[in-house]
Amino acid sequence: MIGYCIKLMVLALAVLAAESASADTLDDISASGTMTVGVKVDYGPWGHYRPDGTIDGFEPDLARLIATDLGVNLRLVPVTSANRLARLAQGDVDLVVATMGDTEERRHVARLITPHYYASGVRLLMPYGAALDKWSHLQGRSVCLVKGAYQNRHLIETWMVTPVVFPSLTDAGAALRQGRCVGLAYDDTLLAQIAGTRDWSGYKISLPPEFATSWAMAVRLPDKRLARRIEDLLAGWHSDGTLLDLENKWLGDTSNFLEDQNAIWSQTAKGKRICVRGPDGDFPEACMTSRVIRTGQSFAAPEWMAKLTGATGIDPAFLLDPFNRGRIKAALGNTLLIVGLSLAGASVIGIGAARLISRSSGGNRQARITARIVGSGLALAQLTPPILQLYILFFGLAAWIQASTGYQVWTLAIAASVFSAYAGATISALVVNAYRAAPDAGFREAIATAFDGIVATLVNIAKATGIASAIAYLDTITVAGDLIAEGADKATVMNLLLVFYLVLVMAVMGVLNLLKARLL
Amino acid sequence: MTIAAKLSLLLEWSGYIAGGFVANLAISALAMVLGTLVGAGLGALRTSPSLLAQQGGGFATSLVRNVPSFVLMFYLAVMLPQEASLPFLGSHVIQPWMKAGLALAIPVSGFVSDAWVGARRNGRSLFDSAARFAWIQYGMIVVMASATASVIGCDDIVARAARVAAITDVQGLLVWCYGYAAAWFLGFGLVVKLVLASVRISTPRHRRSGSDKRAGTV
Repeated sequence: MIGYCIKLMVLALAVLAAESASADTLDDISASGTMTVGVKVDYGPWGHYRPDGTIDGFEPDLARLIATDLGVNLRLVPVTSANRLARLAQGDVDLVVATMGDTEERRHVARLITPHYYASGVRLLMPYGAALDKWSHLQGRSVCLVKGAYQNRHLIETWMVTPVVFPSLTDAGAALRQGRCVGLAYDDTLLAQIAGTRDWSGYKISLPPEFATSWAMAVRLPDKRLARRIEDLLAGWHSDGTLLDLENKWLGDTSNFLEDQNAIWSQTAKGKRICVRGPDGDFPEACMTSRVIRTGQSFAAPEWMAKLTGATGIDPAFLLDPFNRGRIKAALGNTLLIVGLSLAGASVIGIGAARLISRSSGGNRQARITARIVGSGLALAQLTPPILQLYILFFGLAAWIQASTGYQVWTLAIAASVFSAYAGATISALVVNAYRAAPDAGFREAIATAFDGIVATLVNIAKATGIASAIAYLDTITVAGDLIAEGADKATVMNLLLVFYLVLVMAVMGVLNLLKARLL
Repeated sequence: MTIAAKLSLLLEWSGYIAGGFVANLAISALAMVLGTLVGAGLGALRTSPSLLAQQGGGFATSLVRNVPSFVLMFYLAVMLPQEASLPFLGSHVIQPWMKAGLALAIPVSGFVSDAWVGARRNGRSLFDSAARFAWIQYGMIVVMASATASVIGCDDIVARAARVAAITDVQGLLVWCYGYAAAWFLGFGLVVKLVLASVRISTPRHRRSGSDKRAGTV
């Protein structure tokens, strides 16, 4: 309800009369003369940046062919595994061609186009010498994954890996290099490209391909006409060898999948192609041989839930899945843990530093130098965005500690330290100011004077802890993103997330005010 | 690759990375302008003679004050449509940076609403040096918070830093790229601090407003 109110308010305040995405994207594309396509940019040769900053690759080439066929200009937009379907749903892009496996869950949130244009499985990129010969050897081991990838759930459920999930392949690769995980599990075709480069010469692709799936382009659910147009193009490309030529151009070889598809789609009988649309408008079933997989189980919604969804639009069906319930529970626990640690750390750092700085004015030279160093450190923490502090500590300092000592610094410890220092810097400044305004009243009184500001700062840092999801901390924001990517109702998930944080903030304020009443 | 070679590479990409910082400033400017307008409206409601307006303004302020902007950024990215029609201005595309600016405008409006009420109750001007000081200081915090916009697909300095690491594909360059992006924020923050310090020196009798005690994150 609160989330709904906020949404309404934001829309009203911005004087926005929201329009849902146009009913027919194909007409919009023709009218505007431009088609916007979401592609990957960190997965060469499927999609990557050229040194001049333009996007190129196998999938951008496919997008160009489609735009040429439609007679419009092409605008390529970078997307990631985590946000490609969200950006499609938001209308940021008209079409997604971004190494996406075709799953039944994704078919609930987008129109996935067949015939498929590629296929792959999951394998593991790991250092030479690691004793991992079977997927079962990964049980309980940390495995780096990329957020939003279809295989993540399968690996967690079937092989019981401990997931270390990053927003991008670049981050996941950097984490593997620093030893955050025993291997990086991802699409085998993409891993093959990575392993072939000089910088990855100490790594190999291992374990048999698992969870084979076919790749599909996607448009929004109502865009049947655009999908149909692309379906015809794909059928033609399989038949005339265009896809094989493109694969040869970008990968230097051809795969069994595309060779088989070419053989199927180019079949003829009495001089006529067999794989053409029938009277029902569909391609013959015999031609549609590639597979659609399911990443989770489906659960029938009880009557009360169906009524709730019908009456309010709230669809909590994702909660029926025990796997989802388990990870939500863990994420809630992790979120509370990092909030608690950050609040405690910020209080200790803030008040400790304030005491040190306050006392230094009447102290000796050494005390003044120490106070100045602490003050400079806190100023640095205050002037560097927390998300960049997280990245720098995670990929820099923690990696260096691991390389030097073999000790792996916990993600939780890194995140809690960053939030503690960031908020601690502000708390310290507040208390020092209060102390300097009335030094005779004492340090305790200075804390009491600055208490409202301290509460506001601590509440702010509790709100900011979600940023830890950027360095693979499994909190509620990470899980909310996964649930939406897997087909859960986005409005329900996002509103629940917002309500959770509002309740959390209220609870933090309540606890802090209780502390004030007891201690001061 | 040597440290000198890495620094040289970063220098080579400086123009591109700096272009991302412009996006951060645009996000922050949108948030400050929009948040100030809305916050002033809420403040006016809270200080109006009508009890209903006071309660409504108070409830709305507590709501916008307590919503986490990072979560709200995700929320708006997912929930807001790509296009919206504005009265008299027609249909416009809502870019990710606008959604980020909108999300950050929410805490700004809470801050301005509180500052408005504080000034009215203390009989101070709404635009005196203390108010301007607090507003600029809060703006700096918003610039820091704009670094999170990359997570919803904004082409900001953080996104560009990561992209340079992906394009060049040099082992270990990622942390240098992030460090370089952090240096931009640090440099910007120091410049703003210097400006604020000069403002304070030129107004020695000035007292800090209560609202700038909310400094921290948004």
